Amino acid sequence: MISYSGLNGFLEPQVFAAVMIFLLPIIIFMFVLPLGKKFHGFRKYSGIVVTTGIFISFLLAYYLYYTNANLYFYSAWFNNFTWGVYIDPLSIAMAMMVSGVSFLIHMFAIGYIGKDPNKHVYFAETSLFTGGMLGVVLSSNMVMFFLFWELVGLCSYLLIGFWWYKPNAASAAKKAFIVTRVGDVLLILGLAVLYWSFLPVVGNNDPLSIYNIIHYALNVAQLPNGQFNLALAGALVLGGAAGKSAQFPLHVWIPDAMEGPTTVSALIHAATMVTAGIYLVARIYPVYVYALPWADYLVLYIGAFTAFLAGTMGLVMNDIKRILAYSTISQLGYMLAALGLGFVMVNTIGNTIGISIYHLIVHAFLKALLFLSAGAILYALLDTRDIRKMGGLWKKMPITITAMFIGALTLVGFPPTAGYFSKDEIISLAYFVYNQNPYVLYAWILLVIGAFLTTLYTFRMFFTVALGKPKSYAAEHAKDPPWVMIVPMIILSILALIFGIFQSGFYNYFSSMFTGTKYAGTVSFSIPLYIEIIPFLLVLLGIYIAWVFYGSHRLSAEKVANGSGALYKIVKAKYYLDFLFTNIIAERIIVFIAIVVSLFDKYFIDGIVNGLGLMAKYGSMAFRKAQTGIVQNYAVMVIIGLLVFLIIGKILGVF
Amino acid sequence: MIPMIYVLFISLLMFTVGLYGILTVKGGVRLLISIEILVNSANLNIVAWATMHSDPSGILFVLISIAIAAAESAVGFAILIALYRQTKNVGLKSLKELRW
Amino acid sequence: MPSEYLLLLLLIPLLFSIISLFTGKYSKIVSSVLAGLFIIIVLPFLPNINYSILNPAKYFGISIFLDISYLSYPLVLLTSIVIFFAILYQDGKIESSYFSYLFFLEFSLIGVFISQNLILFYIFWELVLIPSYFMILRWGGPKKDYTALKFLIYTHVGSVLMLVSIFILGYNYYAMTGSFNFNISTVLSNQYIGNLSSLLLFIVMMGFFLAFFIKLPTFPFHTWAPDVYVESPTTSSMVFSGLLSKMGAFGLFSIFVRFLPFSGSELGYLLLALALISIVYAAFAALAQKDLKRLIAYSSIGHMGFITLAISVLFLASPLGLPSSDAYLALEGGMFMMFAHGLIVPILFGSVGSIERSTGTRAIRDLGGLTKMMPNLAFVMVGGFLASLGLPGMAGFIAEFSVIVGSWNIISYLAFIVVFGLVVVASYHIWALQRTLFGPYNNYLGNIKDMLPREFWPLIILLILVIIVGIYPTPIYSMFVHYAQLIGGM
Repeated sequence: MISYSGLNGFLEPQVFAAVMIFLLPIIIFMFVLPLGKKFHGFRKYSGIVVTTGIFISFLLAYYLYYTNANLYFYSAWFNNFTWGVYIDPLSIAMAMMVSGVSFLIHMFAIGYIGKDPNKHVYFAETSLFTGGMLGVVLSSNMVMFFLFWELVGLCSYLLIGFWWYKPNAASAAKKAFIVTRVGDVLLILGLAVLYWSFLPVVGNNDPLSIYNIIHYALNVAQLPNGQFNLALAGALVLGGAAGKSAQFPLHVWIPDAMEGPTTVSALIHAATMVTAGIYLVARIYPVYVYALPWADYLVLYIGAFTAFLAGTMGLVMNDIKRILAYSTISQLGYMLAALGLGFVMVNTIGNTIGISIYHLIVHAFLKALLFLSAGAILYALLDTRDIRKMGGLWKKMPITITAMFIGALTLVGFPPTAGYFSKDEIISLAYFVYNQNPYVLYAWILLVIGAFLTTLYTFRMFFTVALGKPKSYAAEHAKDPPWVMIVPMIILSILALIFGIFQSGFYNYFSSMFTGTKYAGTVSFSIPLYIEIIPFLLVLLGIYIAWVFYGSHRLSAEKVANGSGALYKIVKAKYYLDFLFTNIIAERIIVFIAIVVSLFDKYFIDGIVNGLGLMAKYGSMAFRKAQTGIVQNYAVMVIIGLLVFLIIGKILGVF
Repeated sequence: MIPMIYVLFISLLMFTVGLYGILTVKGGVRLLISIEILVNSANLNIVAWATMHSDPSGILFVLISIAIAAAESAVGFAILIALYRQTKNVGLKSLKELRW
Repeated sequence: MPSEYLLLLLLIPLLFSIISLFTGKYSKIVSSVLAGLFIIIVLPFLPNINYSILNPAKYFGISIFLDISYLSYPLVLLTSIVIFFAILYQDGKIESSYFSYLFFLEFSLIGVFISQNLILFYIFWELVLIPSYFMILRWGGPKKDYTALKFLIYTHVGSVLMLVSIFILGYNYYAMTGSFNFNISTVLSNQYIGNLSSLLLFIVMMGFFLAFFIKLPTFPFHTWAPDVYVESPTTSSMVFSGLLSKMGAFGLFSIFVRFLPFSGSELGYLLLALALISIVYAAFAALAQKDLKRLIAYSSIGHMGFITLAISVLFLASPLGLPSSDAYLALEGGMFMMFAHGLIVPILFGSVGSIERSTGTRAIRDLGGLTKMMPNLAFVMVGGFLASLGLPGMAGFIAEFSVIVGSWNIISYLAFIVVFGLVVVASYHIWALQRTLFGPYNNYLGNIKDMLPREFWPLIILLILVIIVGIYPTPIYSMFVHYAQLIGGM
């Protein structure tokens, strides 16, 4: 890895390209917003301008990949912090994925959002978002990283609330912001712990630089309390990642966030922003590697549990976008669990980061594809999101539904789609690690059940939407969207289908991250065939069950739901977590405390102040009666006063 | 020569009478008279001491003091007359407009 | 630059104050030009310049001793900037005496920030009250009489106690040397403070403590602030919240820190408790407010809690046996908070002022969906609120981040209270935005107009400044770095 700093470093072509990758969309944002506001004629070109800008970013990212960039650039910022870019296979892969997927979704959005009068605002904000997200993956410093991290959170907030006049959208935006904010403040504390842990080791050479975190974590672990500090930092950072990547228990905001435009859901809440948390944990992997093991198990089990839990909730939703949202949460759980596996068994770390990020990228493709096809359906059905009102759409909009079918197959990991190569690898890895470490057993079980649930909810949705008879007027008159929306879907379908062939090349590319460290090289893991095909069998079983219930309707799903009684109710109510957070904590406890505090402030604190004032007022009212206005009374006072002083003087012996 | 103590005693007596007057009388004219008695008790005191020390400057001061007391009474009477024009009364109780 | 020029920083605003009195109906234009000019005048006065006339030994220790330090330069700059934008924002129909008061306020504030003699400092400190009092009393809201009196008496009580402390310090110097001196760098040096008996030291510290924490304001001395900010006209709120509270903070960082070698850890823990309570308490109190202006007033109290936190970290570091350099990051953050908050809070009050002007109400429940009618306002207000809740890329974040990260080493798990406060802070900001700007438009408000250009442009420029400072804080931040090292070296 080559280090650059200062102006000369900045003018290196690779560094300059890397900085421009994230700066360009932000600069475009700064122009599109005021221009669109000023010139109405410009608005219809805003989409094209932004899409082009993002394509240039993609080309720049490809240039970094092509030239095999591996560099660290930094320049002084405030205090002992620096800003810069940190380019290695991880950030290049992420940057290419983000800019590429963002480009395709923007292209789709030109058609999708085209009728909105405020489309320049939409495109400006998505451009800012893309810039921010690219900034997240390229930053060389955790403070700068956090800056972009919150910038994408802000864009998410603004874009969920893009249709601000809808009360649901406004309140979903609020919820998204506050829930991720909970994660973000934990992340700030995580950075605080990192700062003080790395300060003794690296001194004033930026303790929060990613380069230093990666290269000096071992030295930190050797300090007294170092491992504990790393674990604490890791757990707190994980909290931040859980907020952004919607891991349990901070996953509650994503389903609500589906109130935003579907392209926003595709871009932000499926493909890119929600993966920032996974990227964060992968980025500072040495912290977990050298930390006390409990932090590693935390990563693993939060991921695995979320993968399972979100899968169950996906089963009972009827809103097409919410099903996809829970699916996203569940898949993010897989990625986090994969990282956790690497941290638990550190000699596999060379594999796991590649495996996790590979799934991340495959998931970005397939989930963007699914959301875009859902968007196309919503576009055709005039924003009907309830899958029970769809049906029979395969005949009406064949291209869209075929794309969705490919997306669904990839999501469940049906061979030979890319999903098979990415997700099953994680499950196999879990089994492999379990063989070495019995504590991982439950993670493996959760992940396997999660895979089964994935199949079940995906094909429940697919069969309900695509087969049967149209169940609403809108569904009967649906048709495929214009080409500008179809092309991205086709490209993504192709990617989802064939990306599997890059698997081994991708893993090799990632293992180059570890060249020169003690984790260089990968562990080849082999597990028994009968274990390896379990996920595949479960997929087949899942598709069959979904077919029985929702394809051929041989069995009634309602009966099963009614039969399961309380269980169904709990799952349907999202385990009462939303209820707990929103209705109990936010609306009852917090508001109650707020009212108590404000009353306390008004009547006690201010009461004391006003009370003192009144005391002075009424006290003086009493004392002023002494001022009778009769001269002789004053004379008496004078004489008494004189006598008192004389007596005191006598007693004290002054005279 | 009259012993010093007698003069001082007279002075003390006058002072006490004046003080008593200031504290108790209700009429403005009487108050002024009481003040004059007080001033004169002080004057007497000063004259007595000056005579004892054979120092004429004390007597000069008393002369000034008497002149000032006269001026002061004139001012006092002027106030009382102004008060009388307002209230047809020179009682001290009517002089409490400025309190509170 | 010759050091006598430092006097210009005081004389020019005073002159402007007189000039603007006679400008009649052109008062706004003239005042804006003058205030803008003054920013340019301030810029080259880089630290450190100091200047003194009058020999303290001759005049009972009183001298005109001015010093522009690494701490005061950003504040003087901030004062000139905020006053400039406040004047731009102000409706020109107001009497010209208003602008005169503003310049007089600027004069006295700059006096506070650059005087190095305690008596001079005290004079300017009290002078600030005069224009503020009349601005509230003359142009205030329905409860202006009560508020003006409360403000005057409340802050005056603190100042008078400070005067007692100043006299004790002066007498202490007299007792040791036989001559009077009130220069901060002299009487507040370790040599002379060390001579005070523990009781006197306590009294002296309490005097300064009350004066500064009332002005800051921090819990439990904060109740004057919401009243004053709410009852004042918008421009005055911008100036008061942006600048008056900085006097308290300035006093803490310039005078109170000098007691560091003589304080036990009790003071540190007291400050810490005040800071934590201020942050969380103000956040909850703001959440329950129905009036937007009160909400902002409480948010401002919460932000000042971060300054208290920074100070408490400094006071805790040495009793815990840590090098005071461990407190630098938090200190820098606390000082940066002064600057950042001074830039951010005028945006908030300005946007609420526009809402009040066009809708006639500030009550959150009467508003809703304003974005439909006031898109410009929505842009500015969202920007301002996000800056206020500490969004990265805006000035407030640099301060909050530095304070939280910097304090972790010393307060460790108590930092969870701070970040819990931050979550509540984010909640009420976002909640207020949702209730006022988003959702369906409240048709009872009728056909309202968007922000006027005189309101929009000053605020948008301030917002851009906030973003610039948030992305590239280095020029200002490095001054605070210098100053923090200065404090550590004391």
